[in-house]
Amino acid sequence: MSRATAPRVVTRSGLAALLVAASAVWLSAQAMAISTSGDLLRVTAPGFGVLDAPVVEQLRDGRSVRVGADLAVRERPDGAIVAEAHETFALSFDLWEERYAITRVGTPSLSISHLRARDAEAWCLAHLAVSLSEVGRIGRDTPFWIRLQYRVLNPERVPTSDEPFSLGGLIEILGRRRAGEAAPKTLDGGPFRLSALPRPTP
Amino acid sequence: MRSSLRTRLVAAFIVATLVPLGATLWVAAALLQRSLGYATTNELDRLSRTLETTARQLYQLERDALRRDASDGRAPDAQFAAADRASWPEDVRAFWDSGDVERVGAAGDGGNRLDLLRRSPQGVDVFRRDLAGVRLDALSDEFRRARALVEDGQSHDLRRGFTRALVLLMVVVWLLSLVPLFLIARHVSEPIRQLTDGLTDFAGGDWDRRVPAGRGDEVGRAMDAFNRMADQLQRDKDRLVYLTQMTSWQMLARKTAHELKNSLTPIRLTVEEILARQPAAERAFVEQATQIVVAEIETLERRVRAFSEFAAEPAVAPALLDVNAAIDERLALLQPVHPGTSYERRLDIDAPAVYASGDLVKSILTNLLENAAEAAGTGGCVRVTTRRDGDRVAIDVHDSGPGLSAEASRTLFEPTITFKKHGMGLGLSIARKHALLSGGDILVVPGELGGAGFRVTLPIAPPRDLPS
Repeated sequence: MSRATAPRVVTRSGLAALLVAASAVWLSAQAMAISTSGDLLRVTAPGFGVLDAPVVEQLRDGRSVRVGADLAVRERPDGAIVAEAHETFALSFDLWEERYAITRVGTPSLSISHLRARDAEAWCLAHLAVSLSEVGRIGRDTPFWIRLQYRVLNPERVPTSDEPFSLGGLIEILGRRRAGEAAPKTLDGGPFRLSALPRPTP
Repeated sequence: MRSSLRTRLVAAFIVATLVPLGATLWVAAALLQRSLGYATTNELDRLSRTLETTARQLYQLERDALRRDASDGRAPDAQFAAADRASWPEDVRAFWDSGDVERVGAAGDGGNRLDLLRRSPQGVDVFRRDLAGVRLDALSDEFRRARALVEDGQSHDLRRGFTRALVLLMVVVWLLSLVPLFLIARHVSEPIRQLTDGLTDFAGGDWDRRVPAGRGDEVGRAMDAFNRMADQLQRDKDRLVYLTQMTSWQMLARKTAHELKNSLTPIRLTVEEILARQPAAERAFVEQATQIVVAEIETLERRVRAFSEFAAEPAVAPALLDVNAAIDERLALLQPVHPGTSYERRLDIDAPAVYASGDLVKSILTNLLENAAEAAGTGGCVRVTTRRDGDRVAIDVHDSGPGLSAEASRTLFEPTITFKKHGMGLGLSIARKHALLSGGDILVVPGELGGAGFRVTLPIAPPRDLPS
């Protein structure tokens, strides 16, 4: 290796290292971890939240956003579902204090407000859990995979005119821009083993 | 090609309306584009963001001021002791449960106040700051509405919606207008097509072809004229054919009469000479035989005279003629000959005079009335009627006789066919010929008295020929 080429190799190596480091950071940010609480298996996924740009934009426009959250435990990455949980969260945003409020839709409903973005996402995940006993049926040493998914539930489009066949309705239909359906946001994690978790305290 | 007129009408409408339709569409679309150019979705977007930023800045300034006041030792506006937690307001309790040290939020009437909730050793201290009439909740609502309008405006292309709706509606209206056009085109072209078909068929030899009548417009009058023309042509054709046949029959009759006459005279002279030269002893037998031969010769001579009469061309001298008077005259002559027959007159006293040769008309009437009286017989009845029928006068003669068979009706006017005990069977042929020569005709009509019925039609006099 000549003296002239040495700095160039160093530069390339540095860039590669930076790339690897950045990938590692991104991957760790997308990582999923599980924990137990009583008979519930919970998931934490730092960096994977419901508050992505489109959702935040809608919230900052003063609208509330309904998000469907699904948590599915599978024996294999694309295998049968062992246990699953579905929740619907209604999110809103305090324009002046710039804090989030969340309501878990269902019975019983549960609400919280004055949350920062990270806390809001964590709250959603904290209230999305599957039964540990259901997961335990596959065996404590059996690996399992988890799929976490968020779906923005688009509200029903309200027609501009009350009359079913009106000029305003016709203009509204003919002038409607094709709105792309928001793709579900998915994060897969695994394999996990229950045996790798600390024993839940009774 | 049958619907070419309709197709042309529709094509003419389409061509005539497409250009103005396109021009109207273009102008309307241009006006729409221009008017919608004033739409201010982007402006509303910008203004709402500015409003939000400004309101937030105000909020933050007031919040910071409130915090400074609270930190500077200002007495709380309200205090909630932990011991009285059961009676705390909902927001205070929620704050306490959240574990936060401090919380600021809009409160009061429509958010016209800021409340700072701060955890203290005794419970919760509440510091308040009036926003001088600024209602944060109302601002939130306005901002939300503005953003909804922006979002709605951005999710719709109003220009495209208006333009497409305009085009769609105009096309629909235009297409709907084609429906009555098709109906009108059909209404206009159908009778013309019928008339054209009728003319084509008639020219092709279908002499019975007629077109539906009953329309009151120009086309309807043309159709009526076609039907009248067809009737007239058919009548003329029938007359021509009949007269042609008659000419042939007359020529034959003339030759036959001539030949017979040439032979009968020498026969008669020879027979009379034979009788004169017979001796007296044999005279009685020969005289008897001669009488028989002479009688047959006389019969043949009568037939020759009938043939000659049939072959003769009568003089036609048309003049105004009162048909009712002519009928009365003929009946007066007939009644003594057939006294056992009753005669019923139903004559239209308002029937106009006809323009025909008097001799020919009298000949026709004599023939028909004589035939009717003979057919009716003793105790029978003959009915004569007159009435105006368009530009003609119709004379009907009905009898209560046995009537005519279908075969008889078909060959009735052909010469040398007789259905009577006496006569040559040329009478009806001659009568029809006379009627045709007078500009009229004779038809067989359903008998009103159970027997035969005939109708003579004669032309009425032209107005200029009528007596004043």
